[in-house]
Amino acid sequence: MVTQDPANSRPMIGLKGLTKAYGGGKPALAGVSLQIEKGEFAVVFGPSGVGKSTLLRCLNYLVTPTSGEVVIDGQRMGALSARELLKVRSNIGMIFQEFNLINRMSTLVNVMCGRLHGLGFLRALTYSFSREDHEAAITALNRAGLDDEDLYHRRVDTLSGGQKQRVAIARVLVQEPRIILADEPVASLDVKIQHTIMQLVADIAAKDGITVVMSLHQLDLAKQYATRIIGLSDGKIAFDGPPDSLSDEVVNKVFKIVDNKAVTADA
Amino acid sequence: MNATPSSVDKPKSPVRPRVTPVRLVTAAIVIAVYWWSVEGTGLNIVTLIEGLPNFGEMLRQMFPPDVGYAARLWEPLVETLAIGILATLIGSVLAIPMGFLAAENISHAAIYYPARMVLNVLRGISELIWALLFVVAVGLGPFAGVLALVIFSIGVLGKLIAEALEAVEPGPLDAMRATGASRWKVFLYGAWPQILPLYLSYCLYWWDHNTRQATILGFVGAGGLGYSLFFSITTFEFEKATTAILSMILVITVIDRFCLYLRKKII
Repeated sequence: MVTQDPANSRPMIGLKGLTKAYGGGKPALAGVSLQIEKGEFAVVFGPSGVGKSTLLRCLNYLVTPTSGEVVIDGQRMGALSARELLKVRSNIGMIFQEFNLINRMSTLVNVMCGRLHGLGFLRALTYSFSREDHEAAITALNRAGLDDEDLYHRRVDTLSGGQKQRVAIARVLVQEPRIILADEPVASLDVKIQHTIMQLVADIAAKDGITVVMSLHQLDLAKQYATRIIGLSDGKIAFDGPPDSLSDEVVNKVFKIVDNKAVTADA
Repeated sequence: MNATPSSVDKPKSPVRPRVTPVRLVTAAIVIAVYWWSVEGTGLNIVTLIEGLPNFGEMLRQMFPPDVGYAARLWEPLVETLAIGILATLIGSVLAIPMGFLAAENISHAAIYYPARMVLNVLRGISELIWALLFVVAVGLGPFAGVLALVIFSIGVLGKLIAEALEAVEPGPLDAMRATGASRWKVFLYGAWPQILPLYLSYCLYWWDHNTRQATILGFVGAGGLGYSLFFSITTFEFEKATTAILSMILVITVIDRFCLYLRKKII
């Protein structure tokens, strides 16, 4: 649910000089600054190992930046207390390449995990979610395209890859997030399902006015679904613009492709 | 050999020498350690042979076992079982939060080291010594035995849990963190389901171990069959000692079988 902050003017996500270095090596992110407005579907693309994942994880502070600033809906993440950080995170859903479901738990419980932030102490301790949480989970599963009730109480490790990602999306939906971060959400799925999942995320985002930031290495998918494309190269922004302005030349630059040969991709 | 004119050295032999200075020194150290150990423990084959007649005499006195004594062993036998069951139950439950606090990937950096230290101390002191200390604190009897085994169980199971937690898949942890779940909820939902089968298997093994320990805690006055055995040996009633030993073997075998059955059933 989008609250009406005095904030239609301020960006949903603001990054200022975001830098992250692991250990002493070359930084994964070297001073990234950008703003993402509410409702944008931004795809971050670039060769693997270029810091796409790090960028996404800095947005919800799963990874703490080395320097620079992350501002989510007006709140400076670095300045928040631990408790406030959890609150902000609860408004940011995240989906992953490997789905990251809890294998030994049922579909419904996995979805309801999206409500963990607000779950009371005794309920959390005894793994007992409220009736309301159950209903929200079922609604979310339906929206995510899983309306087969037989699946609700099955362990998620019995589901197919596409079904698993739908469960993960439902888990995000019960969070009622303002932002969805998606880290290569279709990389482990076959081509047909890739489009289904991309369409699903795009539809949800458009309908609920959710801002999406997605890392993706398939450009065709990015061009088809995103409203904005951000190319990362060497930890810096190499391209930022609408999908139709993305030329082959730019792509070659981002992937450092010379004479149709990837020089550093996957390095 | 592809010898260039400049390389005048003989090609190196592919046969590596088996006797090297390092190996010689290692062997000398190993021999010295064994020598000191023999000296320090008074290991002496002559003394052993000289003692054999005494041992034979004792064995002769141990048979036939005093079958009538078995009736009086019923109570300590039940006590032994009770000590094992209670200590395992309480210890395994209390070990969970300790394991959580001592797991590097889930616990807080400031708590992780102290928690590890506490577990090391609990585990570093043997059950018999804990029993002695608790006999002083709460008096003779099975309660001291239960406390001793609980403390040691927390030390061992806590460490095993912590290590199991450190080996869990990180993906689900990230997913739980991303929902805004606090640390202990991340543990309970992201990590605990992953290690549950391992935990149950540890608990069963440790129940078996605790029952075995419970049979000898009586030697320091902490209840159970051990006290009956201790008493019959010190009063030279060896035929009663035999009965006590046979009861111990019976108890341990039954628990061992039962644990095996449960392990197959649960896991």
